[in-house]
Amino acid sequence: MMSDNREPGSPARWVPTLYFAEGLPFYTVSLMALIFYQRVGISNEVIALTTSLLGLPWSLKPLWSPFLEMYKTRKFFVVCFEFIAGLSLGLLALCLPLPGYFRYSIALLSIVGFCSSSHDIVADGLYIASLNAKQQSAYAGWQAASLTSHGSYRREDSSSLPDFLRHGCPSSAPG
Amino acid sequence: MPVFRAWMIIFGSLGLILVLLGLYHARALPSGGEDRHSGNIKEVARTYWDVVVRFSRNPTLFCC
Repeated sequence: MMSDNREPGSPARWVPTLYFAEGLPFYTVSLMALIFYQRVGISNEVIALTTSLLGLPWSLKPLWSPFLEMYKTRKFFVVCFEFIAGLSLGLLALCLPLPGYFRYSIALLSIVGFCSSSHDIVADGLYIASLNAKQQSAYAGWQAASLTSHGSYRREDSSSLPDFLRHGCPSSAPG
Repeated sequence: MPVFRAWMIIFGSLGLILVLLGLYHARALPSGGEDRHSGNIKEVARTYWDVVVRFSRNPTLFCC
């Protein structure tokens, strides 16, 4: 079953966490940032513009994906992007009390967005490279479940949200 | 302001979860292939162009 470059250990140990780590920053940037800005009183026009721009890394990721194939291992990049995105979110939390928090938060969320969309590329590459066809099919459900587990909370208390947030979850998960 | 404090806790926790996942993945993930040392920018450019061409040839790109 396992070929040379595959390491022992069940994929069940890392597939759910890998895709949880893929979905978490995606929903943080594409969903929670919107709700955050809305709750702190930023106007809907500004929110729509900035958060649409923050979503660009996920649309444009094919532009730099070949460059992630040049050096090191996929694991290296996965872990790197998780650390950078996690630390950026920590910094974001710390800069919220500052007067210029809006611009800092946009800058940090764009770093999170870039890391997360790049994480998508290498995580999918790692999944394909580490599992054979049968295993890939077997764990596909875990991928989807882990990715979308963040999106389910938003139905409650949607009455105070702006119109563009009220209607349904994002139609597609990243990947 | 309590609203900001609440969001600090939320974003801080998310960041912490992601860093902890990173620490776990540093131990638990398979390497996903061998170490790559391809400094060959030409090869990357060729792959890149191939991606663009194949993408633009997708018949469902402009009409669904």
